[in-house]
Amino acid sequence: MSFVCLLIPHLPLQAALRTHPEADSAQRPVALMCLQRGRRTVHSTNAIARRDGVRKGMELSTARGLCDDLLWVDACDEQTQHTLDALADALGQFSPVVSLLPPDAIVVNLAGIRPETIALNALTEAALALGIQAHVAMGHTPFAARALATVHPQSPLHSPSQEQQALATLPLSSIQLPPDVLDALTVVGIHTIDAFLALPSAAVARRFGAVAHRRWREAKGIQAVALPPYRPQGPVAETRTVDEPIDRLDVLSFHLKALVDRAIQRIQGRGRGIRELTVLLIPARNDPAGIYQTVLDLGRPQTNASLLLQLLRERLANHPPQAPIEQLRVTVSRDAPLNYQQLTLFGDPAAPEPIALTAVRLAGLLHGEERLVTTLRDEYRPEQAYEWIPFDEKAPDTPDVPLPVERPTRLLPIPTPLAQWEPSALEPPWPVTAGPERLQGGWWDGRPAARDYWVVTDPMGKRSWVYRDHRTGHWYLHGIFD
Amino acid sequence: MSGELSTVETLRAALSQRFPQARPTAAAIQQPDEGDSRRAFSTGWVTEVVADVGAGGCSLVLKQLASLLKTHPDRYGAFVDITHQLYPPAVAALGIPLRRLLLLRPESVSLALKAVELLVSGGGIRMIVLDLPAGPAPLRLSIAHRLRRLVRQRDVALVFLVRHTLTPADCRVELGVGAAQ
Repeated sequence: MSFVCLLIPHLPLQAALRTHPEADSAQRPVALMCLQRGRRTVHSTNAIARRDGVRKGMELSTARGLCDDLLWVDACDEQTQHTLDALADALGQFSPVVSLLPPDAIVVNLAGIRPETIALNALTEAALALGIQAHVAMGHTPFAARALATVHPQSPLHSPSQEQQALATLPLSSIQLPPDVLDALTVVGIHTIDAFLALPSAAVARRFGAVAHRRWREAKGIQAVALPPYRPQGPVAETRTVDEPIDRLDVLSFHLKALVDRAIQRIQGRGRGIRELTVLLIPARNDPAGIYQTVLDLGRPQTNASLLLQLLRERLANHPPQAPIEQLRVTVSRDAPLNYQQLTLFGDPAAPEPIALTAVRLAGLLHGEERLVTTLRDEYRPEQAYEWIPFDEKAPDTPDVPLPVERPTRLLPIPTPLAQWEPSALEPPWPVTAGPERLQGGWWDGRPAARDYWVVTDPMGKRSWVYRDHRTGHWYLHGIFD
Repeated sequence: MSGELSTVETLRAALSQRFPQARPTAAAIQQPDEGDSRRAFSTGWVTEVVADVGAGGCSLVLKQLASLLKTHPDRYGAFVDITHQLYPPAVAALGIPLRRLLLLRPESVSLALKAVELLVSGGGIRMIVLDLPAGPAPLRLSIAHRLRRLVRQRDVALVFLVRHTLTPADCRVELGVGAAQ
């Protein structure tokens, strides 16, 4: 059996940087701050900030004095956990058994998978696609994989004997000992795993405590590392905050692409597709009036990023946000199992687009309205004899049962008064084809109607649907048989 | 030629049955330059139905749509209704399953044309009807050409229901109405 461990160095800092694209740690000094006794102090930094002299525990004002263009972000435990969850989601593409190894690692069980078929680069790239730089190491035990990942950015699977040799020389800091135990062991001259394992079991337990003893047993192979399987919780959501508010659609699309890619990677890892995607764009200063929200109801599960982006671009182009945007949030508000289908050798470029997608595009074009399909209602009043329903491709094709009487193909949204017709007349002055048909109702909802409908033929030979209102006696044209 | 005549007669019979008071004008169906009236309402073709309101153009188009959806139960139709007048109960009475008819009510002709282009390029709709009110200027040739090319590529039927000729179509059906004799 073999395992892969992905370890995220400086996880809290990386978690904070994921949501701040401008904070490119390769270009700019960045520091993660935490609150201590009401003061912001440096929790961790990137290499550039370290080079400029910013150190852990330093106050913010001091750090900024050392580094003019320092970008600082507050630490957020929720973000850290979210980052770990995001990577665990995505790793579901490689194996069904993924376990979190807090505080900063994930172990993938490769049982049933030939280790040589797993490319370490693929795992590294999967993490990078989520904005996470991870160390990737393979081992015959989770303990070995974790320890190797602490030291090596990439470590392939070795033979068991080679792995033991590699572990023996690793520093003690690679096995997650409590800081005080690590200090105590260093003081007595124990720096490597090999030296640690040479200590007697009872002495380790007595002098260094239960955690150190457990690490000793894990390193010896006597006790297995506990690996509770990861279970995805809550919807997939990805957020990004920008320094300069965005007022251009192309820039907005660029940021949305990154978020949609991440969301798809995660949802694919869960073995599902996006059924509904909610995009929330929050303007600068969090002005509630300028918050822009759009929902893509996709009709069927999708994992095609370019398609989703195209739909989003169309929607944004048709209805652009009203204010410059500072924060973008993409949430998979509904997911569904993917409908796998056999691929063809050369693809099918002429295949029609799924109707559900066309419906999403139309909804975006027509002011975001989802009103595309109607159904009949059991209602006497003609203008209320149908209602709009959301488009659903999977809805059963129930037959519509129309009234046994003829209805005009065109119904005027507002009946046109026939002012020249005599109000006191009980019958229309034009030749009658059908009628009268008395329709009454609506007293229960405050929109009463009491009308006598007639089908008449006008002097030009056109058939019209006219009615006489009982309450006023006036005549109206309500429909045309076209 | 006999096939064309039979199509014309069939149309006349259907219309006279539904509109007993109306009578077809002399040029009930005109065959345009390169067109073939037998192909009216066929997929891959642009058909223009030129008819005044009340002349039966709407019913004619809906009947065609109903028969198309009947023969292709997995496909959809679309009706772009700028006038906001199409009455779903009458549509259902003509045999069209309402769940398979996308009814669009855009606010302007330009939006309607965008919707039509989107529907045609999607390719999932069997027949698309654009009901234009009286008034709009003839379609720009560039738009007409693009739509025509897309219709052929995607194998959908595009029908313009208009009051006067607006676009160079593959096939044109003209309907008129007159007083009963």
